[in-house]
Amino acid sequence: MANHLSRRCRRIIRALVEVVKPRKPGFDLPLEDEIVDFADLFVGYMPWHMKTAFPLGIYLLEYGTLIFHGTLRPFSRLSIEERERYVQGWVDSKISLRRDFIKGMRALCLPAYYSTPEVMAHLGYGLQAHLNKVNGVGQAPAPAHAEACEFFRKLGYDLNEPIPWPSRDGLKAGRAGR
Amino acid sequence: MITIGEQVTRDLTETTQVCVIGSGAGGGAIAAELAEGGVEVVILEEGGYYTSKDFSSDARGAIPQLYRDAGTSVIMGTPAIIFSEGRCVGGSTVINGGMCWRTPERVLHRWQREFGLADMTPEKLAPFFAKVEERINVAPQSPESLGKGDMLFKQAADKLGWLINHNRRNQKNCTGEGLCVFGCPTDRKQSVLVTYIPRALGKGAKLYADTRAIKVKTENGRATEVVAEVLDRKTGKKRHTLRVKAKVVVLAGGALQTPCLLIGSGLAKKSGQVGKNFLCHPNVKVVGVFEDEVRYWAGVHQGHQIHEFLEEGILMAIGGVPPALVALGLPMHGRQSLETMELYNHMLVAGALVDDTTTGKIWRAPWGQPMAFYQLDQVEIERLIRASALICEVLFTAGAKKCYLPFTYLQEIASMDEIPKIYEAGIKPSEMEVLTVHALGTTRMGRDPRRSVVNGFCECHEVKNLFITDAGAIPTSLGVNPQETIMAIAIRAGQYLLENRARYLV
Repeated sequence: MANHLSRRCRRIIRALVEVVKPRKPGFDLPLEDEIVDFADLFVGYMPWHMKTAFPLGIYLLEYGTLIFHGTLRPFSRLSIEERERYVQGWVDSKISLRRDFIKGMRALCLPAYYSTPEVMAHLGYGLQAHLNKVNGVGQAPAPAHAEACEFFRKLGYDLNEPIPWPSRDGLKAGRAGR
Repeated sequence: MITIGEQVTRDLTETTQVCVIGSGAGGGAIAAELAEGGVEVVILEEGGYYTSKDFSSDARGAIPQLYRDAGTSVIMGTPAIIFSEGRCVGGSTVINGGMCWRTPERVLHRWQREFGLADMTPEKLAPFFAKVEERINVAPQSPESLGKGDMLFKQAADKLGWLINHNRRNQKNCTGEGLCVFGCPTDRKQSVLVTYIPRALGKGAKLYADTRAIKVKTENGRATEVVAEVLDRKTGKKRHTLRVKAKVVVLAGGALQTPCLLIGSGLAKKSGQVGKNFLCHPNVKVVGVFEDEVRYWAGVHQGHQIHEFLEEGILMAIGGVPPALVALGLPMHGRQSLETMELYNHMLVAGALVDDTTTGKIWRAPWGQPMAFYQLDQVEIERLIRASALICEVLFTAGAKKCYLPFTYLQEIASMDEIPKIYEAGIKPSEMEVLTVHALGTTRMGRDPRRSVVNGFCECHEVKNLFITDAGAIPTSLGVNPQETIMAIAIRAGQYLLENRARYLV
């Protein structure tokens, strides 16, 4: 576990993760801690100025409830429904910095979620099977996509003819080239 | 010989003929060119040394390993632009899509007219391009490697009568594994890591990974020594100091890092051009959702590009990327994100790059890191909007049922008839999601020392044995992917050094 974030920051991020984590009835994986760890790890790689500004954004999210949500309770103490409404307020804000902050937080959380093997399997991202197929592991090698392969063969892509260069011959920008 | 950070146990001093800072397209190419010419070379690379055995299809492992700032770099402006570049041995060539285009003639003509680079003619550069193409195995993709997304893209462009070309890529027997952005797991993408670097090392070059150059020292107007910090890969903190005494210093750390190093070293100040003229080839992404499965990730990344609108400064392509990266481009979270991403296999991600019509700048922050500023101008904004509309047109023609847009207040459209909404929505810059992977121009080439930092052979006007062979030397937007241009100008600089060995290297 990385430790670039204070315990309080981690608690606020976890409260946010509970809102942004993709989930639906019947498919709700308990990945909150993993996502917070991932965010913590990435903060360590941020450029210095972003690393410095990051906790400020987190605290603005936490205590901005007073200004943006009309309550004295900080973000991490709100119910999940209230947190969702509050975060949506940031997403739809006219202030681009608020929108950008949530975008940034999403960027810290979603890659961790969508890189989880269970989630990738749920989405039908069968990378290993594809790699085995195209590289002929335990089977004869096959094209990445049989129909596409046939289509491009008919167009002569397997003849390996030289491709023209930009602004010469066929690669002149469309209308100018014709 | 490669030395990684943890193998260095004390402060070191190296003496060599040429010290190359950076091991990407510009650094790797010139290092190999010189080493093969019998020159002693030491290469310094800030990132780690990873091979295909270390590459992972898991974003959690791959991004921190291979990307600078773990992909969190941002160019400041409205909107803030997300910027990605490689930080590992092989540089961005390890994580790019592998597109290889020679510098377009119209661009070279501009260099001749505006920057006095009379020798930069297509004819004179042709041998350098040919040599690069041979070294990194530039070739068209085989039909076996192309996925369904490419087929749909090609069919749609043909139907619209738009000029579409299959990409020339640096690859050998690529099977379309679709993992270019996390490092090719089978070394079929012929990045600098598996081409130029082994060539250089085979001829005796030394490479220090996890080693960040912090200062170039000069004496009597000549670069004499590079001071570098050997870093702890896990913490990024300094472990030891490496000093490299060299007859020639080559900077190839990229268009953000090189000007930062120059400013920090107090070099090339007279022109006032270091860090200026920053170009970033901004781009936008649109995600099309189809009724039938596309599974575009199961095929080569970016098999085709639409060149119909190159004269307007718009280049369009599709890219197959893992779910973690697709989700980042979608404007949603929570349940909506999952329900949308469940259509991942039905998605086709397309992007458009637009030529810069303005410039930004690089500032060296007091803590020594570069900060990039770039404010899109009205022409670029209109181009990005038009580019998004054009991508929607091609995606709907290909059969998309819906397109997710990169705009805050217009997030999706569901048919060709809704495309005019994109133009009518009055989209402001702050409401656009823009990203880039091409940073250029911050130490640009030119004949006039008042308007440029280096000459046509990439030699600094003010420090005669200091060369800059990264994307920063490219003076204008290229309109196409830059790696082949960078490699060509780098080996041209290398050949110039070899031809003038007595002057520089003895």
